[in-house]
Amino acid sequence: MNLSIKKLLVLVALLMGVPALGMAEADFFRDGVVAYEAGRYESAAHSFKASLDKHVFAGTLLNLGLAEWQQGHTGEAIAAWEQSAWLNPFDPGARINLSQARERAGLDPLELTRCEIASTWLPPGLWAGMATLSLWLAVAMVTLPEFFRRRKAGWHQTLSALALGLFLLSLAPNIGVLTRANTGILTGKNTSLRRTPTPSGEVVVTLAAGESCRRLRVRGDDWLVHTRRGNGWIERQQAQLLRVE
Amino acid sequence: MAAFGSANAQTASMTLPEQLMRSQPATDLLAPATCTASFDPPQIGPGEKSIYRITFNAPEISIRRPASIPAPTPLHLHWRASGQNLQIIGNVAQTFSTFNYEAVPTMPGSFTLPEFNVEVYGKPVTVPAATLVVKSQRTEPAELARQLVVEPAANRVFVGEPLNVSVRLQATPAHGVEGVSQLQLNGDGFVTDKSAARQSIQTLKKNGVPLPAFVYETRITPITAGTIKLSAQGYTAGMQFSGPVVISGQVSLSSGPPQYLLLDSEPVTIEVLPLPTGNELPGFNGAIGHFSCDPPLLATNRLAVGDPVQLTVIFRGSPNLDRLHPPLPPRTPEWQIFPATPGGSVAAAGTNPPGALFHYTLIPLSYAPRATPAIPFSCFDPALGCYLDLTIPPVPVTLPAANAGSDVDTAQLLAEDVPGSSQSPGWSRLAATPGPRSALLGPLQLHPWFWFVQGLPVLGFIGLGMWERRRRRWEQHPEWRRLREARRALRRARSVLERAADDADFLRGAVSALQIACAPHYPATPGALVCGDILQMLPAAEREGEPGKTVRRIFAAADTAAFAANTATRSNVSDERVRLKKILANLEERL
Repeated sequence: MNLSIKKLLVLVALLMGVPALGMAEADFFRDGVVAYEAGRYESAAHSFKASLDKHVFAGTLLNLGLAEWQQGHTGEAIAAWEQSAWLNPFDPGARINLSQARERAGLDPLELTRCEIASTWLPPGLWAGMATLSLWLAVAMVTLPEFFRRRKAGWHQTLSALALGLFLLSLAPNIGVLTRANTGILTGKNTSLRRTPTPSGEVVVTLAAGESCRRLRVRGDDWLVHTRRGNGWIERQQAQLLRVE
Repeated sequence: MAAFGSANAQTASMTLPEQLMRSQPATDLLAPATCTASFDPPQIGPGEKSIYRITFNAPEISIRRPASIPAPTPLHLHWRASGQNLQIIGNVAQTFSTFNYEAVPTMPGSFTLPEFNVEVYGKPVTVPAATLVVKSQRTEPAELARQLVVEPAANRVFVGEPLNVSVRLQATPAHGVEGVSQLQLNGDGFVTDKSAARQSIQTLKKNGVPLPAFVYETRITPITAGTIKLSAQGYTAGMQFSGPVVISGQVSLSSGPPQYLLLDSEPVTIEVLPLPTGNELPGFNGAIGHFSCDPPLLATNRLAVGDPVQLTVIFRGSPNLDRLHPPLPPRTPEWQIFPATPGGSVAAAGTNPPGALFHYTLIPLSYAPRATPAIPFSCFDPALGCYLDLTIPPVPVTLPAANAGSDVDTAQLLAEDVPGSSQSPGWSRLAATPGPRSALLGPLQLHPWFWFVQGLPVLGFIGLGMWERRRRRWEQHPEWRRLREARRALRRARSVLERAADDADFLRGAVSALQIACAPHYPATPGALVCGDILQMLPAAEREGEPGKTVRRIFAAADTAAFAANTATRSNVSDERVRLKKILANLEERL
């Protein structure tokens, strides 16, 4: 897949309900870049966060991750890059930074299922749009000629078969998108993974900031998460999901 | 041979406990109970004491000891000790029970304890009479009552402080040195460490005269504060020793069968002090003594998160190392530490006393630790009278990924390169534009409106399906469509008729409405119908009645208005409006 096709796919995916970039957001982004280049990383992170107040931008998230990393906030940086890669998997920047940060911090990414691996190939919105369009195109190619008293041509059937195949192929990535939406990054330093959802629960293992986790269950303000080092309960504010609830 | 073979087979079929039991001599339980009684020694001087000893050939539990012994008035008897032992006589074992009383005469003379009965196995057994002679003055050196001597290492100790105690039986001119069996310490408020017992035969001076003595050394630990009265008792056992004996010096040992005599000692008093409170150090778990802690040894200093590592600790010092409990590890979120396991003892080396070795297993749970946690521990030193800090110090460790989550380490990493700059390899550049954007960060599939949008195509296809179905139905029943269209056209024609401004418009509209209302029944084009066709659609009664006349007049007036110059009948036609409305209503009902 060459770069132009990738850009086209991203454009299609992001055209779904995408508002125009507001002036305030652009200003905040510009301020963040200036502050970062001046070495004022805390101010840069603040500006990038302000830019993400209403809408999320893959590039802004990438820069936010860099600013957080410069402040030593490993968890927040990895979370921002994961979100950037979630939005725009075609940008290698987020993946490079994630790889570099995890190598330096001695962290391992979460083990993804095959569906989830497939879901990382395209933006989540594109998978949803692809499934929607292909399904209804297949249905339309089967039904519309009959409705309009047109003779079914060969291209009708070919297009229907292709659309149906595309729909079936997009099912697994869509499932992967749904399950990957429950993955997250631990942002708290030395997060205690407890056996029970109580503050005095037995600590199973203590995890460093930036560790990946998968949310399995929610009870109040506590999450039951799966990590590479075991399952346990954490507090909601100790982790950041890839998706914003 | 057959009998021998049978016995062997029987023995082989027995279990080991059965074989052991059968190999022991039989216990004599049928012999009649007898009793002996004597004073030891039978002659004493003024101020001296004798031991009145009663011995039964029966277990102690079967004997009902009398509450008081019928002794003469000048002789006071005090109970001292009792015990039982098993003696092999011939090829049977017999149990003997002995009761010791201390006899203290208050005046010289010869005192005879009369015989009296004691209940043994529920039957009376006569205790024979015994005589004690108390001389007013000693004329020749006499044998004193043999007894054990208890000597504690100290008379003032703290609770929990180990105390060495020796029990001594010194030889006399009449009795050579001999061992003591079934030796036990009597008293309350202490525990005896039998594993620390040692036996020896040494030469000790008594009244300046060196005499061999059997010495039994053991260790007790007071467990309650207060005063302990400690005494000992045991049986003389001749040259039979219950364990290894260390003999030092020139000692002559006499052979011959032992004479089992129950001996006891005068009680000694030990004052037990409570531990000082209020200034205990962390980690105090009852260790009392003078201890020291060697530097802890870690199996490796380079660790990995989740991998166990062993920490070895050696405590040296007091002889009661075997009673030393290692401190419990602290609970820390960064480490999982298992309680220590004993690793054996360590021999003394140079000036270092022997020690006890313990192993802790530690598992680092995060990358943060730089050292093992300190394990608090302390002991109470009785010699100093204060608590000593024996905390196991931290040991530096290295975790390869210890930089995660640490501000300092991240800063060190950042000193190497600056992510986001074009010069930093391995990092992306700073994004120049916000890039692709989205109104939401999350899967579309989880938003309600996504599923609402999915409903729109569904509705479209349902609508198309319904439209197609109706179209097919009309194709199968064209009359339904004609009637429906006729109804619609008739409603429009009646509307036009209502708005007719003059008679000509009214007549045109009336004819058109009648034609539209009747055309579907033929079927025919409405404009092709004439008056007769309309009349055919009316019921016979109406056709000849007033409605028929009205239809004829309307068609005639319409023809006249269309083709004649005379318009005199216009006013008459206008009067037909009401009747025409009724006719059209009847025709519409048939559509």
